[in-house]
Amino acid sequence: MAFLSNFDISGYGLSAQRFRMNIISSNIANANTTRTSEGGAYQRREVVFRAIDFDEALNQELKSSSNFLEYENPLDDPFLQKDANPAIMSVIVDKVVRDDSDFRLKYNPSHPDSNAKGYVAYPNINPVIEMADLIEATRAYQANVAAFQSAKNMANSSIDMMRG
Amino acid sequence: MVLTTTKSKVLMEAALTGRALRQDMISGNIANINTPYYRARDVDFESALIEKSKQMYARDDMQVLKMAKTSDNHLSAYKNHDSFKSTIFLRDGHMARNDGNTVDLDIETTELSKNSVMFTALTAALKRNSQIFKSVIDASKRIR
Repeated sequence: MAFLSNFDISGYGLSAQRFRMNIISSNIANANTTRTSEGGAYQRREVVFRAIDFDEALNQELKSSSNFLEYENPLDDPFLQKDANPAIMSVIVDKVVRDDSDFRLKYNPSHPDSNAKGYVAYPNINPVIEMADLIEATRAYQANVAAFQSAKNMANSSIDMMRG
Repeated sequence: MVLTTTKSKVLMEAALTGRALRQDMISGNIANINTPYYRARDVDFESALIEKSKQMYARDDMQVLKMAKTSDNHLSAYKNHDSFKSTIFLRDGHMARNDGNTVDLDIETTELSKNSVMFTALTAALKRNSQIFKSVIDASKRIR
């Protein structure tokens, strides 16, 4: 068993949440951007996380050395897993997706980007949603820090054993 | 020569390994707190340790009530898994979230601190255990 592997698990979580905070910040920063390199107004971006098999060798060993309880899925949802294999998972950013919902239209005929009817398309960003997401990301980041600190205490106490 | 004073040292080491594994698993759950369809997982190694200690101390004071079989067609009591192995299972939350994720941060943090405290207790016990040898060696220095 890798001695410091849980440091890395939390580390992956930390960097994933930090990446998410960057994306949310760029959404907030571009809340009024009407010009992008793709043309048109900025479109909201969102991060999708994915669980990854963190330590394949360890998970293989766990698979052969432990029982796995099968979970009976009450909803018959095909997305849900039947058992907890692989056992130890970490997280990566799977993709950044674009939110294709409608732009906010504002009547402003004097704006250079207004359409024939005088409406300007502003990004589909709701600052309330972005702030809520930002807080969620911050809290998740803090939770990962807590897990990291707990792992560090454990590692220190096992080193203390060697001091006799 | 094996330097052990107690038979339970093997158990303590196994418990320590189990705690380290559990810590990894809880860290993984917390890392995946925003992953859609991720299901919180946990490990139960204590019951496997109980089985092991029962075998080690050859103590069978737990009386098991056998299921009565009055006909040959009756099936024996259902036992699916090897009780000497730890069990890894999906922890079912209350499904309060609509992204299919069952990680509950409150549960994870409480389990995390429980696990950490138990780990510290085990390391303290092992440390104390090794001090027995230290005291023996110290005592032997005084023999002339």
